[in-house]
Amino acid sequence: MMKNKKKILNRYINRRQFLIGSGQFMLTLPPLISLMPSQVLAQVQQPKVRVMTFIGVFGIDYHQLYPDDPLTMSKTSDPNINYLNLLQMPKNVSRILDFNDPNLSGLQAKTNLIRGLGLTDGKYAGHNHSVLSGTKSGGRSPIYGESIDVIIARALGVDAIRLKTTGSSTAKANEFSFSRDKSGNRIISPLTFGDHNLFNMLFPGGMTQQTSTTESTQEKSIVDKVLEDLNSLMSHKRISQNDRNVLSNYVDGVNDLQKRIIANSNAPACSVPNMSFASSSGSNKVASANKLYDNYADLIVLAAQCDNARVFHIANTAISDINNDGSHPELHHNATGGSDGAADRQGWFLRRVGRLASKLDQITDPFDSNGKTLLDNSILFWTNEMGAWTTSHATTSIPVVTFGGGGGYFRTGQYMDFRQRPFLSAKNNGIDRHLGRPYKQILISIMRAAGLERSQYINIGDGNGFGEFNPIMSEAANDAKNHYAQFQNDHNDPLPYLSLRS
Amino acid sequence: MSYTLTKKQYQNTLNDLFGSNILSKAESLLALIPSESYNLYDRERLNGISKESILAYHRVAKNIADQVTADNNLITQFFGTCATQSSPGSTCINTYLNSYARRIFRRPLNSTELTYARNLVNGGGSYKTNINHLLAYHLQSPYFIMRVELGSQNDETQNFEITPYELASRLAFAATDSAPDEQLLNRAADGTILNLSTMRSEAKRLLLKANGRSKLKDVLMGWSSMNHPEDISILPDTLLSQYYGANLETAMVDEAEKFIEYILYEKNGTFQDLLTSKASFASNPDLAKIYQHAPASSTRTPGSATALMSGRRQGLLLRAPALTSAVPRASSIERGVNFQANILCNELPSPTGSIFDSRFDQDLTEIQKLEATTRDSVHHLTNDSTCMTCHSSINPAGFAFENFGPFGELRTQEKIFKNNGAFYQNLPINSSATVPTFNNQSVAVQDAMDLVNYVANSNNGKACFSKKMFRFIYEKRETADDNCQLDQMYQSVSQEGGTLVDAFVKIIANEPSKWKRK
Repeated sequence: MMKNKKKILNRYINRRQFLIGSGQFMLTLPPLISLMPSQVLAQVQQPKVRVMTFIGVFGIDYHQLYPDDPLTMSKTSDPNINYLNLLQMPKNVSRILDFNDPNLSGLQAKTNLIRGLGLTDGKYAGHNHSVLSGTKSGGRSPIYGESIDVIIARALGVDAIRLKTTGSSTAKANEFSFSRDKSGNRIISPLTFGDHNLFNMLFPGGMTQQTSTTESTQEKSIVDKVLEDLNSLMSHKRISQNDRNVLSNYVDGVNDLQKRIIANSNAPACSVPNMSFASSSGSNKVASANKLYDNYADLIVLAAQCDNARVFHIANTAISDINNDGSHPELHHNATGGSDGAADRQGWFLRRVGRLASKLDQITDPFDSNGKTLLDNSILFWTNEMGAWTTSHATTSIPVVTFGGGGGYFRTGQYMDFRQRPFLSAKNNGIDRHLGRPYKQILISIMRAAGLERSQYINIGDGNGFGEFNPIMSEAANDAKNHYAQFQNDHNDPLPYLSLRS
Repeated sequence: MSYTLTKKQYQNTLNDLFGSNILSKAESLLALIPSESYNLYDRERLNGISKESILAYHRVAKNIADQVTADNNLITQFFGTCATQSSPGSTCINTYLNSYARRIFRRPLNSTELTYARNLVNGGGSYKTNINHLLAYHLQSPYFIMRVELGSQNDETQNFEITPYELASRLAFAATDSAPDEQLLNRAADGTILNLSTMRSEAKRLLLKANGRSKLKDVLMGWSSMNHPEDISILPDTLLSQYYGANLETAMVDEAEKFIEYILYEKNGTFQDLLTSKASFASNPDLAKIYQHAPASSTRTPGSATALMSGRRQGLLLRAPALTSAVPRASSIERGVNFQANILCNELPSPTGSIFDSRFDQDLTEIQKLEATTRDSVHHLTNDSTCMTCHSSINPAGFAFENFGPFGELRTQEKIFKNNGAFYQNLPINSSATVPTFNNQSVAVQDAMDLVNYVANSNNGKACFSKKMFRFIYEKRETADDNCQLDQMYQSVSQEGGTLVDAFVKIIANEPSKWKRK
């Protein structure tokens, strides 16, 4: 018997359908993108936004990442959105976010520390290998959705680069990146391990190939012929209005394809230096893990410069200090050093991400005519599967740090606190957490920053939009049960205050 | 007129045209194509063609064209030996146009398309580059990506007879989720496909091919939700230690597929066989334990089963995958909704937010739940008159499945757990119910097996099955125009000894199959 999914009601009407509905005889469609002069095209193009997701496993206690309450914060017009400029806070924000560390030094203005985001169901479900899809675990773990690296890569028409930090095939980090097959079954995206493998993926010939002008022209002519076929079909008298709408979407997609072909033909070539690869079997695993991350970072920076990858996903199980590859009890329930020890291992991961952010900030984006850095045009999203260490598996307070401006989409340099005022607690498998906004909104913000339209993610979820939205928390006291109902109308929008554009 | 190929149809078609070796090298690009999403009960496709899919089609087309034109053996296979020579000659391209291009467009190319192709490949420059571009174009053309039905005229008629080639595509995609093969295209070329007996013999031939078997297996697995076992690995340890072992979920799905293959193709079975056979193929020890027999031998003679299920379990609908639950309290509401909707064709509306809200006032406390079976809890939760508008149908159907636990195991007692996963107590279950079925009738059952037997022997059950099969095969809700096809399948399912494969032939190949209606 089938799962009781809700009927999907959202229907997207594209620009062309809107014009048809408006009486297209009064309006003129703009010319095909392929006919635009390249200088005009450059003006209408947004920066190339790179998206990098960094997933830690096994949770972090909130006090290890966030500053202590009470803190006097600036208020927005919404009493439940408070903020502080990170530059006005002490550099040692918390145990694991310390801008005195050389890897994080100077990054305050391009960092966001975001608090008060939770999965709305709030239900205990063991490990939550769904934090990139905004859904809870359980059922077919998870039942709905796809991870944002998959969605963004598909929308941009690029391959996502998915990496892991240990060779273990059983580590929990393997399951965060996933798509769905026709029957709704989850397909877990394979992760690559090793800097040499990443190098070969990104630079199979040692150097990127620029599409020649001749090839580009021929490619465009093929796509023009496809457009001709479509126009011929659309002119057929037996085509119904519904079919016309389908073909109209097809035409929009082919025009979008033309735009990409033109953009690709303008890409600069780049060269790749020789690299020394990290040993995956060295006795000093601390050094090895650092070296592996450093090489990952260097290759990602190069890939961003060469534009041969724009979506990266790194799932971390490498732990710097205990030579461990991510086994469950040692890092989780029985972690050496307890909550502090577990947090320090996550902090090490955060610092490696910070180091990558710093490197991206040192390089001007070759595709940005305004001289922005690669970091300005990137989103580095560091999070964890759970909002608590130990056995609670809390999903009501998930840790989030971002670096980069997402091509001007993100406000940066802020400690943003989305928790409801006064604080409202919900027990999540025995652990009290303050409730805030739906976590999925940060994922939506990232997709929007990457240039996705609402229609490209809105149907990927539980039937209520992207990810999952449950206005009633299934495991919370009665005073908190209805907390998320207030977001019924805007849970599919980007996170307010963080996002500078709608 | 236009149906965009599903991802599976697109992949099957490419695989049939170019082979698995070429396709495997385009695997990462094929993964970029979004999967379809469907309205749950009427199986209508919700998402159409998208920018993502068009971009992926483009990249796959280029990749395949590059692979073919980089290898002289492949060039010979697709474009003829002449294409590898230094001066191929102006007629060399005819080999491809008369064979593979016809397979790609699923019809002979028209004069405009032939002229374009000949001008492109013979227009100067490298011949290999030119045939590369021609193939890349053909694989992106809407005549490949979409299934076009326009008939033979260009007028404003909305009800018209489709062409023999369009009929061939309709049959092939319905039966195999792939494009017509050479034999079927030849039946279209000489017009014999229009003869009903030829149409049906071709449909049967297609259903017996690997793609056809795969299609029917998918349809029946989807209808019964056998391909979606819940994540039982996160059940409490007390339960896991009883039944759970490595690869149990996979074994459940594999076994259900074997059962379908056995009923459809080895036994040439009927609808009743599908719902009532005791045959089991559970060789996995944990699954065999759930099905209460010794592990089945993995070697057997086709047509014979080496194990039989014990107890109150039989047929496709009472197999484990659809009965599993990730939480100890398997949802009798979900089981009830799905049985009513999928098996009894009683599609109930989803509850509104305010109904959800009101439920919480009625729900038992966590402490009270420790003393209540799932049946008791559901009864308490839905006892309000508003809820009972639908739950008077849902609950009894769900309660009949109370004798199945979260692994799909038969049980007489329900294990009650605290929220932290600690075992609390056993409570006796009650699976007897009076279940509303068809046309305001109801049936008193001891458990789900009685309910399934009722459906297996009910004309309304067979009619519902026919309707659901139509929706799965054609990915749309039936209309009055489809009554003839539905009736033909129903007659076939209802006929004494009427085999399922023949019933599928009837729904795929009909006189109305030749027509396109608005």
